[in-house]
Amino acid sequence: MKCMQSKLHINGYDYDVILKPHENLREVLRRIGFKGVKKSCDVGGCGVCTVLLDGRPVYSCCTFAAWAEGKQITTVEGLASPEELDLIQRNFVEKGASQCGFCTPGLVLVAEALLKRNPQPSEAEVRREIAGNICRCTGYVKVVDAILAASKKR
Amino acid sequence: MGEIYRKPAVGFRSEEYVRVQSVEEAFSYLKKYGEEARIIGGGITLHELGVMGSLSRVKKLIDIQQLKLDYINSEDRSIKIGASTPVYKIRDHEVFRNVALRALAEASDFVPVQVVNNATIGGEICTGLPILSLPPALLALDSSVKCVSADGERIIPLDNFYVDYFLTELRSDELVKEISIPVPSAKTGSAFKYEKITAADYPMGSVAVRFSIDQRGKCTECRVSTGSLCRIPMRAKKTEKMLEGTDLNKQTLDKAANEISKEIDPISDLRASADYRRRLARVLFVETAEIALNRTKM
Repeated sequence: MKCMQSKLHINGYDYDVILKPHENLREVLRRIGFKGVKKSCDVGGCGVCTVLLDGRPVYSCCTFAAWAEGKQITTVEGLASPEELDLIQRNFVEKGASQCGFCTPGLVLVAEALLKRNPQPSEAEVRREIAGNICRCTGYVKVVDAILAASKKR
Repeated sequence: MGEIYRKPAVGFRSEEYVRVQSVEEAFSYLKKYGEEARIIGGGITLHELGVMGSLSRVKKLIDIQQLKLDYINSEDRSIKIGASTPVYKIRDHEVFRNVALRALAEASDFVPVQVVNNATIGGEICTGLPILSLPPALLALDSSVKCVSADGERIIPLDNFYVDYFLTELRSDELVKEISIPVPSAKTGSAFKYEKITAADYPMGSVAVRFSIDQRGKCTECRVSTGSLCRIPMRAKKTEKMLEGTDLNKQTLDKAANEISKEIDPISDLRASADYRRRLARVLFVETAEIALNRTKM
């Protein structure tokens, strides 16, 4: 097996990493310490491993780590500043849109990308956008509420 | 619990990941390693299969991002799409707002968005799976695939490209470079529709329809293609023949719907039985054909 040295651009910083050739992006991000990227289904079905690649949400479990070289990777850790939460995160807190919290990083990132592309989405558009993220605690009512509330405050 | 977490992250272990800088370099890898090499489109199906343990033979992963195959060129007679073009670019491109080509935009607009953002048109075609969205729409638009290898290039109509489940005409030393769609004549409309069990699942069935009509409203050209219903994405040629040359109205469409449910040879799997798929094909066809017919008049 031929491991390779690579440079990944994560949340505004360059990281020199050693990659196995078949390694997926999620494994690498978690190894470096970005534990906001969760592991669950492994096959691109649940959405907990969502990261933004050049501003677009993708499943990091189904993306080769070496594939992401040269692209801007954003994880949930890259949204908030040390002092203050991001607008969407604040609304998730205010609306109680998170219970166990396992799906929350993925949902927040998808919402972030959606509001950047379409600042005033309808409820149907929000529901369609988060279809690839599964929450097994709260259902989606409060999540949709939080995203719509964030869109109004923007 | 412990057992689950000791499972390796991916079920396959490739030996090398190469980011090729030129087509020739890709050819040399493909020639040398053949079936042991795989080109990465977006990597999604590769990971899914890897987790299931179906890729134990694959030793080399070939990344073709540097080959600059990410383009949509609208020319006089045809529209050329590079194999590495991500699906979201097709969804958002203005060429496919045209009613004649709308089927492709509709097929590209599936959920989850995470897959739309990463999947590429080349990957959707070369995987050889019937359940993906793009192939039926591309079939209805008479697309052809340009396959290149060290020996030269050949252009295969997409209709002849699929052989069986996971099996395509693509040789192991070839790569798909470009997909070409002829510009349809005036008074043409196309549509694509699918039916799913849950929002983010693969479809149980999908149908794409394209109609061209003449001045008097007679159908001059008709394409009907199905996805997820049979073992491969395929055209329903008897149904097409039945509709060509007729006036398109409710009666003829209903008759054609009977024909399509007889013509196809559906599969049974965990999503739907063959019998259900036969009925689904009829319903989907009528709904899609009505949309396409309305679009011819726009």
